[in-house]
Amino acid sequence: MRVEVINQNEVSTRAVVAVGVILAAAFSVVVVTFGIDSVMSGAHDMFHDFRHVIGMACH
Amino acid sequence: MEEGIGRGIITGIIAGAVCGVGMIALNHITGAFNFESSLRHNLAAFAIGGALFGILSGGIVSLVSGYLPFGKVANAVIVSVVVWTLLRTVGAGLAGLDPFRFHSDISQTYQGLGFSILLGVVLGFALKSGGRKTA
Repeated sequence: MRVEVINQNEVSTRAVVAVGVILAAAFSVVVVTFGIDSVMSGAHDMFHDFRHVIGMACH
Repeated sequence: MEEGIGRGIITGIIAGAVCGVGMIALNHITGAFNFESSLRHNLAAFAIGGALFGILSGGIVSLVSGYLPFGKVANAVIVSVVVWTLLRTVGAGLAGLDPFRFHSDISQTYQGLGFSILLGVVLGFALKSGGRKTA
């Protein structure tokens, strides 16, 4: 019984980490897609060509 | 389920990086945009950008594939296109709010739609083949 509880906790932790990675990726995609320099300095210039090639709005 | 999410994220990183770098070649063929940065810079930027899109699409596919009625490839294409469309819609809204800062190009938009479909296809086949190996 004790082993089952430990495994469930491990499973929950891994699920939370996985969902956290997805949310972090979503935030990063927004920063890259719109070139938000205030969040990541240089994001606009770094991904400028990528943004154009995938059809996102840019100047 | 969390093992599926983990596999979706790892597969998404690889598929996204491959598709991102592949978009450099595709853009050379279509000529939709004239690159302003060096090839070395773009190789890194497109691999990272593609990998981020891949993580997001792969993770979401792993989360929602049980609720979608289609096969893995179709589900991945749907998720990838929906993610891209949402971002593109927000970009169109920003272009409306600040047309001097943001503006859109129709040929680049079609190319971006192609990127999302390509990412979905590659991601879907990668998840499908990975599923066969583990089954």
